[in-house]
Amino acid sequence: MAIKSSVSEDQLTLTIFVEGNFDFNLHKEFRDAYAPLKQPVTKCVVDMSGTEYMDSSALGMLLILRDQAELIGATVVLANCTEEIKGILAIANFDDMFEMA
Amino acid sequence: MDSYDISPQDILKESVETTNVSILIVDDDSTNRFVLQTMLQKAGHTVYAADDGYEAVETYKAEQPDMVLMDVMMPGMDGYEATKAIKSLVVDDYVPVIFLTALSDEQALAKCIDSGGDDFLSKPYKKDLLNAKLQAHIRLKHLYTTAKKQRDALQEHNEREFNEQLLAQQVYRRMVHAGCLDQPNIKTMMSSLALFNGDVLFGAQTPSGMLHIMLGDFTGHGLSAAIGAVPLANVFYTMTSKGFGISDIVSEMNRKLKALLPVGTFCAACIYELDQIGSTLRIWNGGIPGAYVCNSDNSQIIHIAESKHMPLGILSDNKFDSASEVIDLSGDELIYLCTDGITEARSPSGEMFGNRRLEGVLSRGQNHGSGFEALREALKDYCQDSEQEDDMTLIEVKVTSQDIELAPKNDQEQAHPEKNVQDAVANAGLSEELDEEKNTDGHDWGMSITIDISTLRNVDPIPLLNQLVVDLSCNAKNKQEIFLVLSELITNSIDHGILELDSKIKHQSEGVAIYYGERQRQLEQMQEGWVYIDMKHQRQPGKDRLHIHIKDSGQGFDFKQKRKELETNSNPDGRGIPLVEQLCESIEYLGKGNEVRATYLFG
Repeated sequence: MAIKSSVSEDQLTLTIFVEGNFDFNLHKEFRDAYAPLKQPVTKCVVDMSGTEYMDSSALGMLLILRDQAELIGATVVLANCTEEIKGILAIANFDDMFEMA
Repeated sequence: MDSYDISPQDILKESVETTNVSILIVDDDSTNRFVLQTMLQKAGHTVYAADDGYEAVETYKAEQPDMVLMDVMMPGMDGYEATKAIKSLVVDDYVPVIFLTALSDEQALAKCIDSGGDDFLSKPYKKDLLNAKLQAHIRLKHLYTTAKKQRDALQEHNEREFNEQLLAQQVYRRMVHAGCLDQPNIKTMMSSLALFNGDVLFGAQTPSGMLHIMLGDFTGHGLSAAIGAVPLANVFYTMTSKGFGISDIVSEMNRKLKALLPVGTFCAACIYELDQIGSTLRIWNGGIPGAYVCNSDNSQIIHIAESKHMPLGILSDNKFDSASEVIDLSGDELIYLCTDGITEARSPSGEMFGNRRLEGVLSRGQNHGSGFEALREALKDYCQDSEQEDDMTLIEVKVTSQDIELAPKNDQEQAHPEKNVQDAVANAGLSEELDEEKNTDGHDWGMSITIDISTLRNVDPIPLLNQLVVDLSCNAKNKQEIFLVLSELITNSIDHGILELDSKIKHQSEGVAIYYGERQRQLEQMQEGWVYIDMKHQRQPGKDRLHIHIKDSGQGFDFKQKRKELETNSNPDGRGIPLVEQLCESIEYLGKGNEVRATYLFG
């Protein structure tokens, strides 16, 4: 499995860990990792410490997650991005749209 | 398709219930034949009988039975030969041949299978065993038929799908065409993964001769990615032909895509505008990784147009930023755009090409032809046989003066040597008189409009007015010239009249960029100002005229002095008025220089 997800003990934080290439092939897996997004989650962390590469459909998946999160008032945080991933996010100017950690 | 819904289990169930098949019995022994025939008919099957190989083949041809029970030893043509002959007649179907044999040695049984037989039944026949074998083969036959039906349906579906895509592709190509990208100074490469390309490349000239280029990269590839290109092409070509600037165009594209595309789908894009004489580049980049300006021999990258915006189709209209970057050019640069399919192309070992390699190729000089050819070669060497993963697009534009295809004016000039450019000072009274004089000729339409600075901040009135004039005059032929005249005159009024900009700013290095920066600043800060535009169209056979009268709230200028300067002009500014003079029958500045009248004669 390239995607693992876990919920914190207080049930407030959902963490999605994406390993390897974050591209269209992970579409369903990524969706399954958070859907349906429900309260009391207030924060979705996408941990990209193990992400080697992401393509535009991955950017699209992040936008969908962001939309879903907004519906329940949660925020999306992109965590532990490598320099390469940061570069891709910067080209699309996604670093303005998501909280980076 | 219904046939897909049948599971193998369903087929087996069905076959057990429908046992009635037609069977050919081949045996030279009439008693054997009779026993079998009676047994099978009692079970409800239709039975044909033959007493040797030849007759078996003939009966098979005539009756096309579902299966054959075949004796081995017969005079004339034996069972092996007859089986070979029958099997050769069966095309794309399963007709089981079951050998009826008293033989038990392995070699003989193997020969039965070799000649095309499917099973054996030992003599003497046991009723239950016979029925069981028949049922087994009936099931197999059903499976075969169903599989065949599904295969045919799938094949037909694929063919239809492919043909539909081909058809759609033709329509798509016509709508999403490449415009003027076949110009000799433009080189392009598009390599798409599927029949439909998720990358788009457009090029077109505005009525005033500016070149607009756009490169877009939709999320994903194939049909779903390409579908968004249709509205995009529509906006690009329509708005460019009406003379809108790239800021207006990207805003409209963003609005359209935001409304049409589902969340998570968007279009990374870079669009730029190159002026007629190759001195200014305006560029907007939202998500394209490679946008470079190189010097003429590819020895240096002069400017990298970074992606400063989000791709199209994500942000709502009020959050979208259409501000473009302005770059001064010296007139012979090379401009490159490429999609991430190129920067992310992989070598056989899985490493990506990357921007650093790309920049290295674009700045290493032209030993291998222009940067375009060099880059293509470098990519080929780098990727070798590794599989392409994304649509790849590259465009090189060599900056040149665009030829503005104006109708030849020289003939007209010779025909009207008296055509004068009146620099005469006219007082307000005289100008009113002139107005009445023109009115007595009658005009078939006229309009006047005053536009306040608060509107000019947000709207460029020139394309709208131009379209109005063209539509009302029913004259699309002169569109380009009218656009030039209107845009030069109105721009002068706004820039130099209302905004008090000095075009000498353009003389310094980076001047054009500074000029447009200053213009933007003034537009936002200036509190008061207006421009009044009055136009009348006069219809006379072969001599339709457009009378233009423009006045602004500014301080005016010493047009006599300016006129002298322009005669010896070698500067990058001040080309507008001589151009208008060339296009118009007459032009005169009035009052303190904040008012101009021009008459355009339709050719």
